[in-house]
Amino acid sequence: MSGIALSEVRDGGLQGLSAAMRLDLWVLRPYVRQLGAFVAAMLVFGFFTGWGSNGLIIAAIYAAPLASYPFAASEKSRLETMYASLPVERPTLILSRYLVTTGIWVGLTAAFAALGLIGGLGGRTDDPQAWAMLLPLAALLYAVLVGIQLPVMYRYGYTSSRLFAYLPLLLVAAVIGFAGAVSPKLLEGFFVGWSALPSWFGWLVAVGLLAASYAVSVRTARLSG
Amino acid sequence: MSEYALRLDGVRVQRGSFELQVDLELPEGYIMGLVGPNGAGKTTTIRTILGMLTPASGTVEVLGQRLPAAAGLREQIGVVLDQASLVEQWRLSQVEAALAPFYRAWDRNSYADLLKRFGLSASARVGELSRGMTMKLQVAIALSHDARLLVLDEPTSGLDPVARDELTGILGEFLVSERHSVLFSTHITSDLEQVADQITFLHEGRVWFSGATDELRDAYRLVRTGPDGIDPAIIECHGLRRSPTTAEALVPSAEVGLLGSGAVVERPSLDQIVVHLASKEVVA
Repeated sequence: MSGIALSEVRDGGLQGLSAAMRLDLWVLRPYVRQLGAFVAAMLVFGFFTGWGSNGLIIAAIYAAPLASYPFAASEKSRLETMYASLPVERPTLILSRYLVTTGIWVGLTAAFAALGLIGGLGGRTDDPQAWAMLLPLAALLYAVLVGIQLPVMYRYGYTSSRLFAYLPLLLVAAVIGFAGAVSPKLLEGFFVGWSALPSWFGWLVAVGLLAASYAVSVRTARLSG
Repeated sequence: MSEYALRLDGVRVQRGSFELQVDLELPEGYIMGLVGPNGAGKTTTIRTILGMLTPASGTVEVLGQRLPAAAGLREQIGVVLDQASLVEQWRLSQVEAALAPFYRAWDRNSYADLLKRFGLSASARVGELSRGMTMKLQVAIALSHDARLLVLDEPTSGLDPVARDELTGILGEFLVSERHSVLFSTHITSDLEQVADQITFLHEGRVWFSGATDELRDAYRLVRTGPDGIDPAIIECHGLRRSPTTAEALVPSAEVGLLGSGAVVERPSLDQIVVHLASKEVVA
């Protein structure tokens, strides 16, 4: 399925993908101030509390709900007919949404990482090993949160599925909470096991999850949605 | 190359309990009016033509290409809706920045000229435009990427007569090129009297007529008689309305001779045809 979808993207050309990404950014443009204020507030908060390398995880947690913004904007302005009438294949539009959303995560991660490296008022300086372990974990977390959210948004639209902007996060929190409650050693064991894995493993699983999520989105997205 | 801008053959689309069955042919270079009361299936037909709905059976050909076709086909289609499908906060210059990259044939000068001609400021926001201006903006977008087929879905609903007349003028200019064609869906049939060469009349998801406008208008006569002058048992009549003093109905032209003397017979307007074909017998 994803092979078919990607071949359609290729047929549409990079010009179509680039145009679709630019369109997504234009759709988000009215929300730039709102998003900027939110990110700035988080950065100020992070500066005073000192997240260190934990900022990487926080960036993934905050980037995931932002993935619902283009859907909300599309629904508010009834853009479905515009998307349907554009000379670009639907898989290209969907891929563009995944790339733009991931771009936002990359940007947030860079900002939060910069803050973590500076240290901040209550900051701490983590050793490079902590950063190396947490970055692929943050990517995996982002891939899980967004990988669940986007196919649901494409299938049911923003209004019917806006809870899914937060539900995957609650699910992850519940799993972590449950594991911690059963035995704190479970979580500790996970981190020990995770740090023993090569860093590319986390990246590979994250990319695989997003690719699978993209294939599901292409297959199940409503034509008119 | 196909001689038809649009060709729907045995198309059946199911949407919940509503079923659309439609056959129509729009030759290149013509305007077709898609008329019928609300809920007749006009928007479903348009969404099928745009590829937003997939027919359960039948074939849809747009500009000679059978659907589903490559997305490039949509470079040649312009869509005009009663409400623009654009971000309300966009300025008209930003509309161009957002959409132009999709179209190889996008002409920036043409867009600027059309905005100027239609009295639209590039710095205005989409959400600030009146309905008439929104319609003009969408026409400007369609013409800026050199669309060969314009699909208009209820573009005149909510427009004042001046704006509706302006649209008629714009469509007339668009059709100067023989390559250009228009599908114009509306329930305000008077808009089509001047411009539509072809009419497809939909009612309850079925095509009641599809062909030349004059052919439709010649096929029927509006008849007024005394209260008992029209007998449905003898004459095929549509939308028979009776009052204590008169009876009025739409009657096939071929059956007008069966009426008694004293009947007033007129060539009906499109509006009268649609109203009578879609309505049931009324006795006051």
